[in-house]
Amino acid sequence: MGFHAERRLNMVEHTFGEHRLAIITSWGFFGAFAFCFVVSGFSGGNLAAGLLGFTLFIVGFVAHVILNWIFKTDFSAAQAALGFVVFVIAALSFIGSWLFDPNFGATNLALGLAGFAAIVGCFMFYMFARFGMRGSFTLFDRIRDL
Amino acid sequence: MSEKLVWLFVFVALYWVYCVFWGVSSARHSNSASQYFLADRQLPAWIFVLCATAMSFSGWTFMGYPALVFRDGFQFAQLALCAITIPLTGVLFLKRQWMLGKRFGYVTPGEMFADYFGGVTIRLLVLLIALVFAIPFVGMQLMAAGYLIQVLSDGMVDRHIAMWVMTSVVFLYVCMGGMRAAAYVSTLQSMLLVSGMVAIGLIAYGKLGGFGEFNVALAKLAASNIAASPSAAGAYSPYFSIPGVMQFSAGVGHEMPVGGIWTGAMILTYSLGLMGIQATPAFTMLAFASRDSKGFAPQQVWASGGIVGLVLLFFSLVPGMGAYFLGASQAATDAGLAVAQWLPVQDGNSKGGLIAHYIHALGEGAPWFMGLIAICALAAVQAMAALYASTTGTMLALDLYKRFVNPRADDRTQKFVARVAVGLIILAALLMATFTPFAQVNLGALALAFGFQLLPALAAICWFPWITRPGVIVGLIAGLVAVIFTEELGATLTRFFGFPIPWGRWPWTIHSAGWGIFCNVVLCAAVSFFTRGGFERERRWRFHQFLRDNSALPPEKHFLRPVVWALALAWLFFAVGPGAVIGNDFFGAPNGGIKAWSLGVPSIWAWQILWWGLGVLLIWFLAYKMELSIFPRERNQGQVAAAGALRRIADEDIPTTLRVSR
Repeated sequence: MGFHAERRLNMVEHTFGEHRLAIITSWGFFGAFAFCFVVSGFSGGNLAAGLLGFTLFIVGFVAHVILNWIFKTDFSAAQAALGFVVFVIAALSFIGSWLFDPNFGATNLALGLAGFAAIVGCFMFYMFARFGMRGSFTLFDRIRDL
Repeated sequence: MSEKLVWLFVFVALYWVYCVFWGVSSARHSNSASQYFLADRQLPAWIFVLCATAMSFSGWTFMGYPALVFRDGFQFAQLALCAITIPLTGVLFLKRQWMLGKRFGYVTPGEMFADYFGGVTIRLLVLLIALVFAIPFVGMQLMAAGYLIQVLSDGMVDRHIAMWVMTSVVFLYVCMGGMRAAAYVSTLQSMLLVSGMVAIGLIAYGKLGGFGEFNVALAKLAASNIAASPSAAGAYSPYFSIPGVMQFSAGVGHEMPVGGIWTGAMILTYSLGLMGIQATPAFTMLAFASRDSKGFAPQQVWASGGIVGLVLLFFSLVPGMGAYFLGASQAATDAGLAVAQWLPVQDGNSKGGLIAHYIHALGEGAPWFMGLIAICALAAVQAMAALYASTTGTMLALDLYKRFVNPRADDRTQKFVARVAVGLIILAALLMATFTPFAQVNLGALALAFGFQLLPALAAICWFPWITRPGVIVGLIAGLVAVIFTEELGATLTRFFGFPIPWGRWPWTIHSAGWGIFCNVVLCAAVSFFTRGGFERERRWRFHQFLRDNSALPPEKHFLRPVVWALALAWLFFAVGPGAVIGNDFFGAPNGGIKAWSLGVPSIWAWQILWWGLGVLLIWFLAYKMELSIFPRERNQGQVAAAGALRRIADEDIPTTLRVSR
């Protein structure tokens, strides 16, 4: 392989590595603070702290979309799968706590419903804006065909 | 195990996973020596911005700054303007060093100095300075991180064990991935550093009842008489005033200045010492590793001057001064000034652990936040440790091993030696911190002032061709000696040999960096004058011709030069120099109560905020308008072509082998 060709290949690898670094750093930062605020919200019945936490999750998602745009790429299958799994675990934990935890108060319920609804709404907005109404539903066909 | 310990360990474990992940990932892209030493010279601008910010401010701003504000009051808080002075060095030298690194393929600053001046002395002196930074200075910060874990674990984890374990993780990822791993990990570290400082500031505001209540409490403190040392500036409390322009005291250890150590002269010379951070060899290597110069100006103006300055003045200051009202000061509590008993009493040496106690107190109500903020503190410390270990390891491999022991060493051998060197540096730092902490503090105190002594050498390479090799070497040696004998180490050495010097640390309230640079510049200029001319001048001219061809200021801006000089000197005089004493009561007498404060905050604080804002404008003007940190888009055809040629040289024409074979 020639020097210039090797150089170009290295640049592609660098860009890939930088995108990955940017994504992990962004989620490492926003995700950590968001998690702590959400835990504060649920454990202390503090609606403001909890909503701030969910807002930070949304900020992390928006930052991810912006980084994808900067690096001219999209969500990878692994990222989408990870995000989906984390969301499902969090949602099931919330529902489990609601059903089985006697100390789970109305504030916690309001916080969880508002937070998860906001995340879902944000995700749907992204999907419709990115792929359009028809394109978004077509993605489900692709998943089914896998 | 308590809940807060569980959270602490969970966050520490996640943080370590992040660090080691990037170590492993970077190792796969570090096949050649160039890739390992300088991340293939491909660090993008955004990574440079975050990495340089973490490296410039690190653990000493996170933990040291609030603790010293608590000890010395607003007179120390004047050092928040280091957010301007530290990047000032970068504005003056970084772009030009980067250009030379790209053009001539340097890997270490030792290579650059040796190539420019000739000879090996300068190379070894630069290596010495790098080692002083990498071993005792970094060791001091690691020790502080160990103490933090000891406090947070309620003494369950010994600080030495914590320090060794945490540092072994640093060794692991630096050893595996080299500069790339250190830089990649520092992106999150710098964000945690800044957000941690903001978080602790917000917590302090919350406990104090908000900004207004904080100022009411400050007014009571200013009117009280509880300061540890007597006042010097009129009848004002030493916590709220700078104790004069200069005091001709014999120095700490012999004669303490009245009203505190932070006179105008001390603030100025200590600020100069802090400027040494961006003059260190490690920082030069970070510039060499950068893909382009796009990150320099944003880092200097916005990240450092703007964001860190804002955080230091509005957030990090509050835990320091706020500690008086949260139970940390017995005298303030006895005087009825405390608004809450949230912190344990801090006195004497324990004041240095103030931030550890803030984080610990947080663990009572929100243990998950305690874990997260603890990680912010650890990240602040480890960012600097990793980068200094990585760069100094490279310097040992290239400037010592390859230059003097095995000039034919191949890539594999160079990488191996660099890894061993990183291990030895970290081991030395840990051993010193564990077994000889007093010696480490003595040596670590030299680091900033030593780094600043490279200023004439950098000025020679980047700006002044008339400075000669003998001038730089004589000046540098004189500067280093002057630093040693105006620090505690000099007093200790002379006592040991039986002829104690009649002054202590920082005589005349001038920091050792000030004494050092005075001797350095005087001798450098004098010797350069007498050794000017000769064949060496032609070789040096090669560098300056290249710099002039590619980064000269356009003729239409030449008239701005005297204006800029005047503005910069005026800023230094009023912001961090003798003129800062005007701020003691410019916006109202400190002890006059909150009604006497025309801006609603203590006069000295308002003065600091005012000059911080002007300082951001100053470095913006220097970096962008005077083109000291950028390559402007709008240039005439010839200059655009020259810049294009530079980029071609940088990106394509330097073969990998040439870059590491010097």
